[in-house]
Amino acid sequence: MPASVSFEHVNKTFGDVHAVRDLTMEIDEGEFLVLVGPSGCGKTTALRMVAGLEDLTSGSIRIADEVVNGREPRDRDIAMVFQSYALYPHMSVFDNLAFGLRQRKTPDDEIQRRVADTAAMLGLEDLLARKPRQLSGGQRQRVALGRAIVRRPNVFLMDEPLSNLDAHLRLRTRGEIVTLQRQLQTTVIYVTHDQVEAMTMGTRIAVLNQGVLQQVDTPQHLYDHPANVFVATFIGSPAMNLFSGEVTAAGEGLAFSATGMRFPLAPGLVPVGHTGAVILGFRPEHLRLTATDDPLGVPGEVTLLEPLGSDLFVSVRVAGHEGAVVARLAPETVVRVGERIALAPDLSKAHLFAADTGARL
Amino acid sequence: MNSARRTGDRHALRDYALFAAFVAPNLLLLLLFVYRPLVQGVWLSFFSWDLISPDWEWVGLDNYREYLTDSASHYILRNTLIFSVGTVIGSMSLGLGLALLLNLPLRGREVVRTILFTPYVISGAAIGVVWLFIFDPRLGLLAALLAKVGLPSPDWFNDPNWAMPMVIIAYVWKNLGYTVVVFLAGLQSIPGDLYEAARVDGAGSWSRLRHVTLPMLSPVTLFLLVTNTLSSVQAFDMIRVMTQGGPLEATKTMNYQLYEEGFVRFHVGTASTIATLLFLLLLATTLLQLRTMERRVHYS
Repeated sequence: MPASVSFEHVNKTFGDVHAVRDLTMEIDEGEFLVLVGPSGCGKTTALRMVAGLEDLTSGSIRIADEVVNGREPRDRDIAMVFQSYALYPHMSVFDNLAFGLRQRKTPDDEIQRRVADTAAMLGLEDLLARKPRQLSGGQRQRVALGRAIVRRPNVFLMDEPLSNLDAHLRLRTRGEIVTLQRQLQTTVIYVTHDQVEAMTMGTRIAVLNQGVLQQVDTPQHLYDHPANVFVATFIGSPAMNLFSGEVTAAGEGLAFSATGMRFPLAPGLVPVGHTGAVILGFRPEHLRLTATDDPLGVPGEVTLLEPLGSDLFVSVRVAGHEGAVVARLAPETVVRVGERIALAPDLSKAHLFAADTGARL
Repeated sequence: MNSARRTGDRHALRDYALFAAFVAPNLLLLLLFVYRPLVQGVWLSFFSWDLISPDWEWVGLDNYREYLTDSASHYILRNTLIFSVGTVIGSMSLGLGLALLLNLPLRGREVVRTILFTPYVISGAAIGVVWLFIFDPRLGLLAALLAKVGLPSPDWFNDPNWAMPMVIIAYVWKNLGYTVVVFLAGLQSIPGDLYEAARVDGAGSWSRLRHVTLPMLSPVTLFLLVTNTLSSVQAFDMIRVMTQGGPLEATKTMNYQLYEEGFVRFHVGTASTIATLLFLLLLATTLLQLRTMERRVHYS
């Protein structure tokens, strides 16, 4: 039975470091929730508190509607996949898989059956007699997954399980974990710092920064409606282009103006009565090439071309703007480094944030 | 291709010359001061000699025959065995227990670690003298403590049944620090996430000790077993100070007997015979330990 997990005003401090601040979040039964954020954002700490490997400073955590604060990990019906895999080096693959079942006094014939099932599911049948040191990185990762699966826990906790794999294997395993979760219909809480992993794997994503939950949402909604500047730049690669400027009255409506640019803003984008400093954001795919004399164009000089085959990323230096503006253009676009071009944003896809708080307007 | 091989040969030759240049001084010293006496010792065991006389009398295997058929040497062999097994088991089990305690995040453990290690670097003779005072049945600390709980002190020095335990206790105390420090190093090299994985897997503290700690410590345990056995058989200074092998030879080990035969009674042939037998015994024991334990040791 998959279980729900909820955080209620959870705080965790290590001495002076406030690792997790007032975290409140619901994770539904059978959901694949990804905790994502830069290193040190508190995502692993949050996961370890669910596992029972870390005590809460305040607040409470519920698993299947029961408060589990202070409960030993073994009494929470969870399984965890560690970043280092943490396989028992002196045990065979079989014994690694069977260890948790043996600790729970599972009958021998059932252990045999469940280990065999799990091994078959993960393609480990031929490796059962081997020791972890005789396995490749990918195989060890599978054993670590198997050790979690074989117990059929209500909640899977995964702490960056793919970070030790090479890029190719990571891509493949990513899909396999998602498929496995669909098959097993278990609740998964998955920690990663990789936003691509987060986007492709999660049914919902929770973005953390400096211990504070920024936003929890489906991947697409997170991408289309980031709650603040942090989420806007953290999710999506290359990151969203941000322009600091001001909202001013322009005839009937409002306009955004900054050094060298002035755009009319769609009605409804800015809350009534809001004028002053704002940050305007456009994703790279919402910029297109335009004539250099286009009044809606942002002029600049091409500094870098990154052809990916399917797309062409063009970095442009814009006067009065820090950092490069990146546009995603069709691969057949002909531009040269050093050339002066203009980029026109799709104004209907504009994101507007308050300059002081960074929150979405 | 031919020239390539010749260049390769030249390289190998140069490497070998370099290797020899680095190793030779050490090897020379070892040959001179370790292997030459070893061989000479074996050679001497075929003679009867009193350390002074210019004549060495060839006796063949007589020394061995005499030693191996003498019931006194059987008793001494038994003593050696009891002393070694007692001290090895004593210092390894106590050492592991203390190391486990010192591995806990307790206040003041650095101080305790230092206190525990100190006896190991103090001379055995000095420690022997201190323990003489502690064990003294009339004036000793131990007698006073036993009196507090209403027990009489055993007559450690004169009772053949108590003398051996006394020497073993003192010896274990002296060498405990070494065992603790090595075990502690082993414990600290066990990755913490193995314990976390075991906790998630449902293992309690006893089960974590049995299934994680002990197997992960197995290389260190084998190392300590071998080194502790070797050093226990060579114990001399404490026995010399505390009991001189007495009472009634109850604490006389082969190593002590070797000293007595060679340098008290000047039976150099017999002493060399004992040395040779001791060497063979240790060699066999070490090989046996390595062979039987190796299968159960997990090097990660």
